[in-house]
Amino acid sequence: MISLNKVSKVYPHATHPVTALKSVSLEIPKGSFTLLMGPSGCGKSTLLNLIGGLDFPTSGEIFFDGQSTLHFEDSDWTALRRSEIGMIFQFFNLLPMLSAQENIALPLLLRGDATEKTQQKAREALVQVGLRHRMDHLPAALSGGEMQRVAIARADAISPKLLLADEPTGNLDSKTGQDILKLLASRTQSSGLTLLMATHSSAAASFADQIIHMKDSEIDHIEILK
Amino acid sequence: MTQYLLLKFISLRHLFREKRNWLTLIGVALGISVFVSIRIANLSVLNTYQQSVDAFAGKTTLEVVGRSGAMDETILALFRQDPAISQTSPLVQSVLPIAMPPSAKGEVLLLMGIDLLQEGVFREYEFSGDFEGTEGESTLTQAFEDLLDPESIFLPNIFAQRHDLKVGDTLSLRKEGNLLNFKVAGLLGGEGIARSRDGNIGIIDIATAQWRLEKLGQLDRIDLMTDEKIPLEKIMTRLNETLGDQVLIRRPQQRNKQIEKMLFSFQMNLTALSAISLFVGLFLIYNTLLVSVVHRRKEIGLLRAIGVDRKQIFRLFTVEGLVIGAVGGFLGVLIGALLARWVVQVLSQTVSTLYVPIPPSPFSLPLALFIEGVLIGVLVSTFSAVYPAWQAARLKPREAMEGVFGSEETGLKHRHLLGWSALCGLLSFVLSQLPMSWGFSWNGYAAAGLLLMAFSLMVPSAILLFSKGVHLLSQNAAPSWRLAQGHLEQAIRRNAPTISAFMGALAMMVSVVIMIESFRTTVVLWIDQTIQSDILVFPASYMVGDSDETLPEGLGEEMMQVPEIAAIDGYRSRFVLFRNESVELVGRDLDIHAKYSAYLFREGNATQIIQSAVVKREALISEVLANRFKLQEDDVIQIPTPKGDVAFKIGGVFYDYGTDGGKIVIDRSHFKAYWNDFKIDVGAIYLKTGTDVGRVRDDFVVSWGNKAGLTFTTQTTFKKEIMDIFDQTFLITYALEWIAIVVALLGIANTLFVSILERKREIGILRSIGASRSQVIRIVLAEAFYMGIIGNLIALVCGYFLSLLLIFVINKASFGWTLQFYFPPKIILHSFLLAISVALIAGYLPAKRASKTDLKEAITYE
Repeated sequence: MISLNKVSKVYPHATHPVTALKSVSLEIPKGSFTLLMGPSGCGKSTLLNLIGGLDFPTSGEIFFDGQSTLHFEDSDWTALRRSEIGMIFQFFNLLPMLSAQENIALPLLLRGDATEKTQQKAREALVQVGLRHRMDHLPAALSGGEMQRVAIARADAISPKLLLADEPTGNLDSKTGQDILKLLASRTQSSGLTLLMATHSSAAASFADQIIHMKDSEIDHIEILK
Repeated sequence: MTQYLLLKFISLRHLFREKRNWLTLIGVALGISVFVSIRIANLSVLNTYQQSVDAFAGKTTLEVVGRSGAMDETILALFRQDPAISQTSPLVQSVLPIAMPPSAKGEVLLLMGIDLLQEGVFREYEFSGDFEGTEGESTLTQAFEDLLDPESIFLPNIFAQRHDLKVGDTLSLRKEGNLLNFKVAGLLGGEGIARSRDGNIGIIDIATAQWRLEKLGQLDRIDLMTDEKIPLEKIMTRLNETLGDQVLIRRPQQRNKQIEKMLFSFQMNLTALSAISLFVGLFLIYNTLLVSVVHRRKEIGLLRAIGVDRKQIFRLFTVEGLVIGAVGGFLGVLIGALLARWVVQVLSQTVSTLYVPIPPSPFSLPLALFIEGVLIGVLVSTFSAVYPAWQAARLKPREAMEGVFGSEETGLKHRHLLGWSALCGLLSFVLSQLPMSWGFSWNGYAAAGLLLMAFSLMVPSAILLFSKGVHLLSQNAAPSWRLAQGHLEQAIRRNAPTISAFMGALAMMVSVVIMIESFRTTVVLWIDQTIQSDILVFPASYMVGDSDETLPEGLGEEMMQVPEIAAIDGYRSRFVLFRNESVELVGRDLDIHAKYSAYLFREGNATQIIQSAVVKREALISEVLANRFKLQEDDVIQIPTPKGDVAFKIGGVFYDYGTDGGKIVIDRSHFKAYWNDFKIDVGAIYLKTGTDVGRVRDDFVVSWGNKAGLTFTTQTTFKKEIMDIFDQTFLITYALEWIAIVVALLGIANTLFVSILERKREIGILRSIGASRSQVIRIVLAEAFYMGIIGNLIALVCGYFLSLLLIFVINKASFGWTLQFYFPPKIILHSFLLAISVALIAGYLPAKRASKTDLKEAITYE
């Protein structure tokens, strides 16, 4: 699904440039649940940002579904994020002035899907994550876990091939976090979705197929679990 | 010490590091520059006018003028004998058009006949020239001897230099078709009289003036110097009691009281209009500081946590406002000075055209005005900073550090604001209903300010209402509309002041446009009704201002031989002292006017009223005069004539839009009877039906125009010239409004930039879920669009009510005019287009900036 070939990321600075990633090469198999683990500052978020097109590598090449992204423009990445790549973050996933249903419908509307179909899909997605009764609620009225479930539903609504999750349970209690992990795992299993998740949580390991351990901006070792 | 440290390490860094503060600074500077430029221009014009007046007055403490025109010269002896009077100086004068040199054609000259032996102590005269005389004689004596020559004239240096005139050259003036030739005998230098009227003065001997101006045995004015030990009021009262039936004794300053009043009103209106930019600037600063407080709440929490107390926090933000105001004020004064160069020019021209000819006013920036401009900036900013500073001071440290900004209580607060809005509106209405006082309409200006405040306070509620409407309508629309609506509602606190400021500027523009269109419609109607003659004939100098030139004697009779002419209405005017104030008295052929034309009377049938005035010896007065002296139809007034006061009943009050302070119209037969005045200033020519007006006019020009220096103009052309003057008068007004709009534009841009900053994370999420750059741009532009719409809708309503104040309260009190209200329908479309354009222009750069948001930075939380 995703392969990286000697990808590096250096943030320029007048006197002390920061190397966030050092010549990383790896393969993320299609349909896998891969974890990225490592201490703070090891490059997990940077890696996710590069794969999601939110940032660009200083050197190296990233392949998405066999296609090189070396010459991708911003519009190419935008197109991918509309239909192939879903993203979930630790905080502030949702737009505060839109209801749960509207938040889910938004990416579909942004890519031009018909409004009625969009609303229908959003309702179904909410039901799937068990939040039918929260359809018209604003994010401020949702708990942390509920917000993450809506975020998952939103990411899922575009039927992506790849889901990138950056510490999705970092802000949740252990029980809620467990529920979220179960939900994510079920999405991978049911739809063949490839999931790449950055996390500190060891509880996630029981759901994952492999763990990529990172240290000092490099891959330390890859642990195959399944 | 703490405050100093806070200023140095916190405030100044914020102020100069955050680029959007520069937008605020520019907005404040622009707002103040407008106000300052108008102040500079007003002061400059006023000073020029005052200097002109003072140069004329010289050391005169009292002046004597005839109630009905020129005085019999024998009255001079009475003043010379009076023990309270130390010096007297008689004067005979007339304003005549210059026929030669050619470079001076089109200008007029004040010809002053003086008694040099007596005049010398009153005013400054510095003669220079090639005088004939024996050795040892003083220049003054030499000048005196030369001045006795009836052909001699003395001209100011500045006039002579301008027209390349030297001693010995000829200067010709035109009087009723004849040329009065003079030889330049000497030049006047120095300050004083030589500087008056920009040098357009000619000094001749008084006897020469009486003879050549056909005023034998008459004087136009007697200047007096009184005994300093006796109170002036006492002398004035005593003299008026004994001689008051023939003449008026007054201070020189009282001569121009009416002009000064109208000048004051005109300048006051301009000042009030310029204040709208300050109003907008006030909101700009308020918003900037409020946003700053919200933005820096964590910093405030930290400061409180390390020992900074509430008062210091309050002072911190107040000082920041003060610094913005001081720097903005300083810049504003500099920009205002640049702007003033143009404003002074336009204002001088407008005042000369409408009220009194004044020389071009020089530009100057007195230190006091400089300081005033900076102080205004400081005061406005400090005032604007109080609420945000108070908000900052009341933040609880824990809440602030967690990023909580108190409780919203949105609904309750909006209801309070609506309550205050209603109160302001009510107060505005009450003030507008107060009885009018002639001149300064303080209640009108206060009512306008309160009205603006009332509508500004409505804005938060309007945003909520609009937001609900858009929410309903945007269900099936592109997501950018819905997102923009959400942003708008989410940030009411920030958006409301911005929209209020924009609304205020737009409302002023709408109200001014309605006022001007109403004025224009009224003036056009007035011209169409009252100037129905086909052709007007008048001396070329008539339009210059205060020329005394009249039509050549016998011209009317000569012209009546032309077969195409049906009738000529002869129009003559002179100034008389009515109730001790100078008033224009007009004599015209009322029966002709009744037959062919009309006046717009406020009540009654025009033809009947005018015919009655002919038959029953009645006077017709203009509305301005009626308001000025509180007169009504059927009142009886005493008009001073050389044969004593004559009673006239007021037959009607007509609408008139001249800037002369009001006029009394009587039949010309009374001019002939009481003043022995057969002269005509303007001939209103009515042609027979079917005549080619243009051809006849051209024939007139050939026959009389060039020879006698007359102007023949058709009604259409005359109307166009009046409307051109009308448009020029409001040039500055439009410029002021545009600058206020620009300041408001900066406010919108500022707000949107802040919005982008605060929504960086949201923008990051949007982009991460598939929003393209152009979609982000559309969201920001949609938000700007909404601001424009809301501002426009409220501004139209506010502007409508403001225009009512302008037309029926402020203008009425300032100038005495009743205007017909006219709401131009095109204003709805024009204001909408303007509002949207301004909002979108303001939103463009913030939108571009938003689209370039660094996504990884936007979504980072570690």
